[in-house]
Amino acid sequence: MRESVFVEYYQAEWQLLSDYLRYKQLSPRARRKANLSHPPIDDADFPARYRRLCNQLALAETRHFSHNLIERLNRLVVDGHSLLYRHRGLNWRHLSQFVTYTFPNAIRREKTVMLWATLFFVLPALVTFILVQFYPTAAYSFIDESSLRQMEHMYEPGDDHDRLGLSRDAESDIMMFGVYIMNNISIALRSFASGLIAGVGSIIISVFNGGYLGVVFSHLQNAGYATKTLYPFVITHGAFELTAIVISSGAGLRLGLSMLFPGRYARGESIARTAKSLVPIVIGFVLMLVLAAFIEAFWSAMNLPIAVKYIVGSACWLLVLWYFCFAGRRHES
Amino acid sequence: MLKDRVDSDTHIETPEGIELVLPLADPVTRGFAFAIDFALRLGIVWLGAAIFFTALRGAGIGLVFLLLFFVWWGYYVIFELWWDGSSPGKRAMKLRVVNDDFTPINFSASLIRNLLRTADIMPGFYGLAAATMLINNKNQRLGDIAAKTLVVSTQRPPSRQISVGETALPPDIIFTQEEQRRIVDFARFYEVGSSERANEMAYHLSEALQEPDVNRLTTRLRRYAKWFLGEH
Repeated sequence: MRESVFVEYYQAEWQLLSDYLRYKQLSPRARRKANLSHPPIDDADFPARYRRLCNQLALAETRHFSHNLIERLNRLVVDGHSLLYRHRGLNWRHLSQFVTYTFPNAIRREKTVMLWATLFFVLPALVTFILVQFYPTAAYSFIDESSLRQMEHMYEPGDDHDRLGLSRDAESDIMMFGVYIMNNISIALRSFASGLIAGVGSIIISVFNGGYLGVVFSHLQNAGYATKTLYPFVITHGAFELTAIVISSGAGLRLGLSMLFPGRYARGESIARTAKSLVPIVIGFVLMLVLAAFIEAFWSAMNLPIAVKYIVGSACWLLVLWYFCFAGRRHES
Repeated sequence: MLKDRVDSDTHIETPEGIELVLPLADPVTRGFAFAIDFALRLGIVWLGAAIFFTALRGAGIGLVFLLLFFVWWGYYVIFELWWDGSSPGKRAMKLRVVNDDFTPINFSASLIRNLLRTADIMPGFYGLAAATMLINNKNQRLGDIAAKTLVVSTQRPPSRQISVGETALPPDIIFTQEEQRRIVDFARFYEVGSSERANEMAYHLSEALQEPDVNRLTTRLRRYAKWFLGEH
């Protein structure tokens, strides 16, 4: 078959397919505007027509037809390919499924790194806490004096404060919400992402955060504020915030390990597979931190009887622990 | 690892046994795209801060932080999903992100490749990204490797602009792709170069094409080229 005959013979077919692909690329609104109520060909016919097109391209190539024709068919095939083999992303309609089992199951699948990440966070915290308990002045060698004094001032118990923590009124509640979102989620995302470099970044951030927290808690304990203001303030949102931070560094650690020990995969492939499997965890810890920011800005800052704070806070901790240990076990594969 | 290709195209084979080709974006163009995006992000934050501060004061600071968060972490993901793989900077530089099997990018892939910018930036000025792109033969940075994505150029090759000043003639013998490209190159050379030199080059084909007259041979080759280019 000569090229001109070939083109003439299949021209109509290509035009139809090209119209169909253009139709598929339009948004529903653009379709209505262009007065296209239904696609030029039936959706069910598309795969068969696409395969015919592939045959025609292969034929054109073996027959050495003109460059222009081959390029034109190649472009059609590229568009068809991306329609037929489109990756299905996360389905947002399944948010409830995500919360009830996808997320906790993903965490349990990565149990080992999560426990290591907990260790990298809790151990430095305990060490600095005990150190500052016995040598109160050691606090000043970790954190500078003015920051510590600011924190003392923040948690100083007194009748004149109707709000706890950093925020004092409704307007600054909103302000602090933004600050918490930006700060905490950035820390968590950074701790996850920097894990890619052999996991080192995640460990450093985790150890640093744990150690810092230990110093602050211990210092305020020494000042005698801890049980009156600090713990009632942090206990509720801490359940979500601290766990989320630990989860983020666990996920980062996992990413680093997949790079260090790719096993039977090529290194790039190993990282890609792990990263994909970690996406639910990333979304999960971001959602947890959003929740924590809400609680921290609007609940933790409220001045309620300390007992209420402790009861609600403990309940939240139990809930989070139960969630990661037991939620969605039935759906585990 | 040596790059064994001289062009910057990337090839995949589809399940139908067809080879697809897309041109890869080069690091410099990507750098420009990044600079444009960066300026735009700064602009958005600056504008947002100006509006929120004057309108809301205290609560405004919170909104500015929220905005900062979304611009810092969400800018690329939002645009890549909304504009089918292009951020404004990429669109300006005619670049597009696709999955490594040439399908449109989805949420997970976009999230991974943009979160991992944090790792690519280290130790400063996208140092790791630059190093990875040099080693990798698909110009992927770490985030691209982890997300299995490629940045490709959507620009059509500019060669089309030189048109051949002859009428098209379908050749009566078959030329391979390679030969067709040579003939088209030759015809373009004729349009911008000297015709004497073109005749000298064409002379080598006079035996193969059975055309002893060099001037007529040159014209014939140019008409073939016109046909190959599809400008009938």
